[in-house]
Amino acid sequence: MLRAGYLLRRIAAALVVIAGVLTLTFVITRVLPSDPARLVAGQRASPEQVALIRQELGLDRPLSVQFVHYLDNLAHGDLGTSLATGRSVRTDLGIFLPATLELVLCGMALALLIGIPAGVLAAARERGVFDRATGLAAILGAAAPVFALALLAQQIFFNQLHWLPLNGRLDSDVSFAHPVTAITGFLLLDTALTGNWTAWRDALAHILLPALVVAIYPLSIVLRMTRNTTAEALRQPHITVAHAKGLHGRTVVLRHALRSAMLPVLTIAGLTFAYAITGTILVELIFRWPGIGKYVADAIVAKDFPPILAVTLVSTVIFVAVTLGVDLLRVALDPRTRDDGVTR
Amino acid sequence: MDVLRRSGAVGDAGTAAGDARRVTGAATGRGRTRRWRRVAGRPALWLSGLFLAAVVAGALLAPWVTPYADEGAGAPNIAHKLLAPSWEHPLGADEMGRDMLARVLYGARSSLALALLVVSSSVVVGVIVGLAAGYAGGWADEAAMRTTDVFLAFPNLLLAILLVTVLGGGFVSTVLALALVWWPIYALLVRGQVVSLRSQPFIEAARATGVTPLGIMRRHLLPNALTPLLVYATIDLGAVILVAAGLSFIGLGPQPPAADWGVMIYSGRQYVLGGSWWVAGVPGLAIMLTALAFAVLGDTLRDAGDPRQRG
Repeated sequence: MLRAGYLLRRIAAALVVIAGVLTLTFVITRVLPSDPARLVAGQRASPEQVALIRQELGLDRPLSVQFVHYLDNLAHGDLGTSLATGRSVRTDLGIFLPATLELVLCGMALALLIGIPAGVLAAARERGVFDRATGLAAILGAAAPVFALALLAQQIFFNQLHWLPLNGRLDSDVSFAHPVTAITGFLLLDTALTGNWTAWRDALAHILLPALVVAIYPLSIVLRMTRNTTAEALRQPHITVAHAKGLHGRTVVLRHALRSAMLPVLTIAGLTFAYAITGTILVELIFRWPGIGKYVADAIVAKDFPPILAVTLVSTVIFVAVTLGVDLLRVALDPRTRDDGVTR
Repeated sequence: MDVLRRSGAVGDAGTAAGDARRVTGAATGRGRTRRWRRVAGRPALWLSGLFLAAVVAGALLAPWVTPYADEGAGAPNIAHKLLAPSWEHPLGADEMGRDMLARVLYGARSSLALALLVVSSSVVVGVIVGLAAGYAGGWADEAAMRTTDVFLAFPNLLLAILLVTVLGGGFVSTVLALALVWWPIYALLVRGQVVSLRSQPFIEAARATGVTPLGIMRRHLLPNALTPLLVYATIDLGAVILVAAGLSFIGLGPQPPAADWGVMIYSGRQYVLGGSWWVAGVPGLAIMLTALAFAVLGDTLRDAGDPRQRG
C-alpha cells in the first residue's frame, strides 16, 4: 500500500525537477543566445519583426521579470507561433502529439509483448540456443542506430517483400474514400470506434513498421532484463522448493520466477520510454509520420525555434510523469522497493 | 589492462587507496591479474578490440591508407556515381562517385574525435562536481544532485537538439551540447562512490593525520572511482557516436561535403530504395559496429574490475 506521505514526497520531487527543467530551458533560450529575439523570429525576419518579438518577450526588461513572463506564458499554454505552419505551437502539438503517442505506445507494447516472453524462454533454458540467439540479437538491437534500422526495415518490408507501405500514417486513397472522424487523434482507436474497418486495417499496416523500429531498443533492453532477473529468480531457494514439491517446470517459471522478475522489468520499461520518444524523432522523419518528431525535424530545417523548445518541454514533462507513475506503481506492488532507505 | 596500470589504480598496495580497495572488496594487484586472465580469452573482446584498433588506425592514417583521399575529404567523382562494391571500391561509391571506404574512414575521424572530446570533458566536469558534492555533503550535495536530476529528466537527443540550435551548428557547439547532456551521469557515479567511501576508517584516518580535503579527494576518493568511470566512459564513447549520428542525420552537425556517418546515411537514404544499399548501409554498419565494440570493451572492463564475478 502507498502511504500518503511517500506519495506527496515523490510528487514534490517531480515538481522540483519540472521547475528545474523550466529554469534550464529559460537559461538556454533567453540567457545563452546572443539575440533571443532573432532566434524566435527566424533567419528571414525583418528588423521590424525582430524588434516586435523583442518587445513581446520583454528582452529589455530585467531577467527576473522575463522569467516570470516566460512562466506566465507557459502556464497559459502559450508556446509561441510556428513560423513554418503559421499556427500557434499549441494547436500544432494538439495535432501532432497524438500521432507520436500512438506510435510510441504501439512500440512499447511490441517491446513488452515480445521482450518479456522471449526473455522468460531464454531464462528457462539458460545458455541454450535460444538464449544465445536472443542475447546476440539484443546486443545488436541496443547498438544499432535507429535511423539505419528504419531504412533497413523499409528496404526489406516495402522494397523487397512488398508487405507493408513505405511511409505515412494512412493511404491518401483510403482517407479520401473512408474519411476518419477525429475523436482521440489515435487513428487505430478512432477508426475502431466509428467502425471504419477499411481505414483501421490501413492504419495498422502503416504503423507496424515504424512501431517495430521504435520498439527495437526497448525490446532489446526488456528482453535482457527479463532474462537476467528471471534466471536470477530461478536460482532462489523458493524455486528449488517449488521444484521439490513436484510442481511442473512451466508452472514454476511462470508462477514463481516471472512474478519476482517483473518489478525490475517494469522500471526499465519506464526508463526506455524516454529513449522511445527520442528515437521517434528520427523514425518519424524517415517514415514521414506526422508526429512531434517530424514536427521538430522540419522545424530544425526551417530554423523554426518555438516548436523545438515546445517539443523538448512537452517530452520532458511526459517523461517525468511516466517515471513518477512507474515509480509509484512499483512501490504499490512491492513496498520494499521504496528508495527512501526505509525497509518494512 | 595498460590503461588501468598507467592510471595508477593498480600496484599501490600498502597505500591508503590500496587499503580502501581491500576494505570495499575491490581489487588487489594479484586478484586483478587473475580476473584479467579470465576475461582475456573472450572472442568478443578480441573481435571488438581488433575492430576498434582498425577503425582508429584507419581514421588516423586515412589520408595515407586510401588512394581516394581527396574523395574522402569531399571531392566528387561523378563518373563513379553509385558504383557497386568491387575490387577497386571495396565498399562501393556514393551518389557523388566518392569511394565509400575513404568516406567512412574520414567519417571515423570526426566521429571518434567528437566522442573522445565529449566523453573526456563530461568526465572532467562530472568528476569535479561528483567529488565536491559527495565530499561536502549537505546543501551543496543536495543542490548538485537536484541539478543532475534536471539534466537527466530531458531525453538526451532533444536537449542536444535544443542546445545545438541555440549555440549554432558546427563541431564545437555539438561537442559543447553533448558534453552538457552527458556530464550528470559521471557526477552521479563519482558522487555515489564518494558517499560510500566517505565514512570509511581510512578516510577518517587520512583526515586525522592532516591530509587536506583536496588531497583526500585526489589520493583516496578518485582512485577508487576510476574503474567504474572507465567502464562508463568506454561504453559512452559508442553511445555518443550514436546520438551524434542522430544529430547530424537531422541536419544539426557537420554539413556536406564533410564526411560524417550521420550525414552520409541521410544523403544516401534516397538511393537505398533504388538498390544502392551500400550508400547508407556502410555508414550505418560503421556506427553500429563501433558502438557495439565500445560496449563489449566496457562490459569486459566491468567484469575484469568486479571481484564478485567468477569465471
